[in-house]
Amino acid sequence: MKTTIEIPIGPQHPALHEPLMLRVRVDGECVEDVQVITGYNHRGIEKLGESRSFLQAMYVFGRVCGICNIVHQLTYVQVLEKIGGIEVLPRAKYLRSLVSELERIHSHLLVLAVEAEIMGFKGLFMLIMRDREPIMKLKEIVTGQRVIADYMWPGGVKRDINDEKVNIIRKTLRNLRERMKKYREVFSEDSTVLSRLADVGIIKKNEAIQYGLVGPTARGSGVETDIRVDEPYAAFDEVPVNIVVREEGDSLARMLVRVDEIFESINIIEYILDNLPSGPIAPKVLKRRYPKGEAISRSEAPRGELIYHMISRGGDKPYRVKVRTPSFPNILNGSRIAFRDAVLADVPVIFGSFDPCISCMERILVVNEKGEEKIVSIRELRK
Amino acid sequence: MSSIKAFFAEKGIGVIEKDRRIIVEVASDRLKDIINEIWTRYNNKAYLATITGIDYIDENVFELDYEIWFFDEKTLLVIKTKIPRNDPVIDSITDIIPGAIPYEQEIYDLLGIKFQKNKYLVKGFFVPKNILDSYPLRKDWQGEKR
Repeated sequence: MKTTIEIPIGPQHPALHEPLMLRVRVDGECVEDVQVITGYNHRGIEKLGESRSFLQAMYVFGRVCGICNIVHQLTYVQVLEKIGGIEVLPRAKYLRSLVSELERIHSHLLVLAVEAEIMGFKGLFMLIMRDREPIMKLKEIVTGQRVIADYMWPGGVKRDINDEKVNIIRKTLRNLRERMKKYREVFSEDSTVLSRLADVGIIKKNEAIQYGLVGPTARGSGVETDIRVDEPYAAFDEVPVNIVVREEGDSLARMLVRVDEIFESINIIEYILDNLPSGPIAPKVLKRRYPKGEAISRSEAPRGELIYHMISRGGDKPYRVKVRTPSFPNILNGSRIAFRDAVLADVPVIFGSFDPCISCMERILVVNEKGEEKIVSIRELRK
Repeated sequence: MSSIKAFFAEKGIGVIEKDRRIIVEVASDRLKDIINEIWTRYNNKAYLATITGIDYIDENVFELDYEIWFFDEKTLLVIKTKIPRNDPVIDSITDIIPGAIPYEQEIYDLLGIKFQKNKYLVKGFFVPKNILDSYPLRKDWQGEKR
């Protein structure tokens, strides 16, 4: 006899740390269907961006996501530069690539740790989180902030690095590379990891393309796509980038892609430090008004392709800013295909292998504060 | 000439090309056929990156930009189409591209454009319950009712 029952996982759940509900229909242990229920974490960033000036919006979009704030702000600034015809200074281009790779390393380390925790491998979680911390410190050394960096500037970046900082970066990355060799061994050989991840949540290559999956989730299914190579931005037209692709398409492949990408990012940063051009890092003139125009900017965030589409009608405010974050297709479309043939216990593991980031996916809605008379002006805030 | 430009030249549709972008504008009733042909011709060589909905309130139209990335050409094709603001209905492309489902859901929820034959459209996909009757990304949205 077939009895289907519905089990809600989330929005608050020990196995799923993000505000999202997976409505799982199961027959016994076997998953029949997973429905993703969204709408718990709306912040109205796109609408908010329309009501702020171009420069204020830069800070708004730098707060779409805490983990990938650098790449959000970078992509926003790139779209401004395209509309305003601003050339980026060579040293700033390299520094932009440097910080976005630092961000990729700590984001990938985070998801490796979180996935280990979901698997029930708490020891691995703690070890990886410990090794992530020095990278956060590096981010602070370079940008001045550990999390939200606000590092970008139209035409350049805000802070420079010197020899002392370069030495610290090199040393930390050398240590990390050694540690990562150990983690690669764990993720490719450990029996706990293999039994939880291998052959679980398979996404085939053609499905990944049909459903528009991006980033490590697509690369784990054999899709050769990486915006750093396909459409180089920042300094990636000069820095060699190898695309990491695996053919298996299971949860393990998605994690191993991330492990190998950390090695790749370390190589990229070392190349950048060896070849860092000298010169100024930011233009002297700051443009506040931008001409009429439309531009689309893409970049490779840690979770995949990030798109900013801006329409400017002149003046000091953008008319429309569309943000397509990588988790949007990965969570919503990935969930349509990856849970076939899964059992209930696999659901959090498969979901974790997408590197889900809810703030990355839900960012659109406006929540009006009650009592508008309480709103303080920017001038008052400055006091 | 890239094969995408040739594809539109065959149909007599003018394109604008600039740094890895090809921008075309098509009528909303032809859109589905064109996407279907592209999808058949470039099977598994292209993916739908996103759909952007824009409210041009002055011109009384909604614009939809279908953005498709071609792996081999390394080009982003932007197909623009306009629909009247007072009757915002267009055919869904989800039967051709299954990956379009959440993009259409998002636009329906925030801009109120109805995609015919997309059975997944639901109000409240992103919008909180207290403003379910309005479309916050429209330019004439007044904010939450008090």
